[in-house]
Amino acid sequence: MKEGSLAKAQRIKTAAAAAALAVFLVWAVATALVREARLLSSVSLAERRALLHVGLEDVYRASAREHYEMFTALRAHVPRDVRLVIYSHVSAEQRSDPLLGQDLKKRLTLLRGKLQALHFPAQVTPLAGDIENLEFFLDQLDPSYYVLNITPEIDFPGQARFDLVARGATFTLYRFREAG
Amino acid sequence: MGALTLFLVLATPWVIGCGALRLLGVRVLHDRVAYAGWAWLAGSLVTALLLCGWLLLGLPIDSFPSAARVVAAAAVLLLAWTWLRGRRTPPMAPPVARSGRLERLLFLAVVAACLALTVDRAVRANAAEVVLLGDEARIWASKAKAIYVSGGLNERFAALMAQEEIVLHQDYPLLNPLLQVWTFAHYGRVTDVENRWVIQASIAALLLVAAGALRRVARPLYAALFLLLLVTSHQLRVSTGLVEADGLVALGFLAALDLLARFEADGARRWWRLAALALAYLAWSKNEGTALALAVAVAFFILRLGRRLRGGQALRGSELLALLLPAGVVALHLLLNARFGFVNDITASDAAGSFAARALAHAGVHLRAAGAYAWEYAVRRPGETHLMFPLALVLLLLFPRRIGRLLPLFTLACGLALPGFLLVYLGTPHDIEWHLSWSIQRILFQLLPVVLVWVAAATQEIAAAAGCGATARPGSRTSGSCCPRAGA
Repeated sequence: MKEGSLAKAQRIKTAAAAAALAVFLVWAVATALVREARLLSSVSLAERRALLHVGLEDVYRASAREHYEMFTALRAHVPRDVRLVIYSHVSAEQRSDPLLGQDLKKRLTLLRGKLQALHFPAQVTPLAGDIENLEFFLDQLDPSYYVLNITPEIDFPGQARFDLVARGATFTLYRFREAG
Repeated sequence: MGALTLFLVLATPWVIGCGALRLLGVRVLHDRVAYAGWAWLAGSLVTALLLCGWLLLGLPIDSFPSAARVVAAAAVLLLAWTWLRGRRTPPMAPPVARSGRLERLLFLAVVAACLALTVDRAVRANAAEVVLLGDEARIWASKAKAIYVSGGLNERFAALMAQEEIVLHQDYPLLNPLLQVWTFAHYGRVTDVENRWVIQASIAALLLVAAGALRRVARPLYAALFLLLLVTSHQLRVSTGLVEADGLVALGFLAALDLLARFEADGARRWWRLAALALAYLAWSKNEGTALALAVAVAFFILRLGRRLRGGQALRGSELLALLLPAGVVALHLLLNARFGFVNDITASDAAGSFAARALAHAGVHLRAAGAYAWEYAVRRPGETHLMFPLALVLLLLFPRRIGRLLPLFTLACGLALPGFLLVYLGTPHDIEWHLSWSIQRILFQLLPVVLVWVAAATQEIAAAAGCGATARPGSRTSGSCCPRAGA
């Protein structure tokens, strides 16, 4: 009698679990498919067909976004096995406000990552320190390096020792002029 | 020209893989769905190993594709010779559960839809952005680029890797970077988009292997539903657009467990040999993959020992020889890291002490944080893993004996892997919140296909026991059960 009721309880438990599992599976698959359908419908068939014919340069343009002009200048003028210094002037506000300073640091790190990926294996060094340190740092470098000034409205220290290579709306690109 | 090159990049390893499967004794009819996935796994591993040997010999990278095509041609000849000999094809493994033709067609349609969705995602991702930021650029692509522009694993490579922050996590295994180098060698230059395809192909292979594994443990309808859950999981979608290694880990982990389960089920050595290859693939995919390969091997030998004690057969010496491949791959990885001085950031000692000291010192805080993140991503965000982890736990608690015996190798391997990952979090030298926020989704994704197959097997078992599953095949373990025999 006891065994019989235990078996019955087991059967009820199994049937309840099977029903709950079925409901859960239907819910999980339905919500997943609805979400997927929404994602799929966000790109039309015409857009999908166009994606198959997207040119590589368009993908570079879309990826580099506001830095595309800078990237094309690098590709045209800068060998890949050199050091590239990204220079940014640090304003008085950026010096005094830690949040602004952090924001500048983040932007420089992001730009460094992008340029390093697109211009591998150039050594990309961001510099936004004080001017005395920058001059000291530049003096230590191998002569074959370039400076990308992303605050072009302000000259960087020692700019007279460099040749202008390219200029864009948001940058100037310089090459160190070797002695002699 | 571009399409033909891309075709060669993808077709050559796949054909080499078909040849490797033939040498191992695996044919299409053994599993029509999983075969193409296994071929990609085997072919990409063999190609990467050959390329690694090529580079260590100091041979020019750009001439490697020609040499690989010779290997692919040999594979084609082997396959043609086998076909012409007209040997009887092996019988197809009996389906786990009998099913109607319509149900089987539905399953195949879902598999095809999943593959089409993967190609669509890959095309969209590749048309949207080049490999530019994040781990795909700074860890995986940058290491591939460093190898390619250096011309191999040489002094120039060492000098390049010594540059500050040029490649992050330099100690990571080489499978992924070498597959990208394989692409670069075809194009004769570093590429920023095309190199994604060879990694994205592993996601397609994962879906095929998962489809085969699901079909082995559940009727076509359930297999189709669980495959849909896998393809719509958040991190699989993300991984399809990146050149990262988590798809490789997920593929290797599932393939190794599924193949070992097949070996345990029918004792055919082909599965054992292919499982050894999958273990090598897993161990060479990422550091997590190496840890998972160890978990799989330990779980397998624990279960084997149990069976041996109950009078089961021991592995033969010739079978143990197959383990030289994964062991050799791990040894190669360690030797190359030692040669170039690459160290692992997690296990290395720092100012806070050794790994063990850090783990003991931070255990409480890190354990709570890991628990909170696991809860967040496994439970509170259903789109991540479709609640499969808590569901597996609930099923195991409800039916510990019935479900626990279904796929013991899967259960034990996951049971060993989870504390292993937890240990990494306990001893991490990084800020725990930062570390978890970067990694927990990937860890869950690496385990998800295995957990899905496990839950599918449990669903089949419960449905059959409740009388709503498909008709059991003769000789199944439990009356009404459609799951493979215990031990598998």
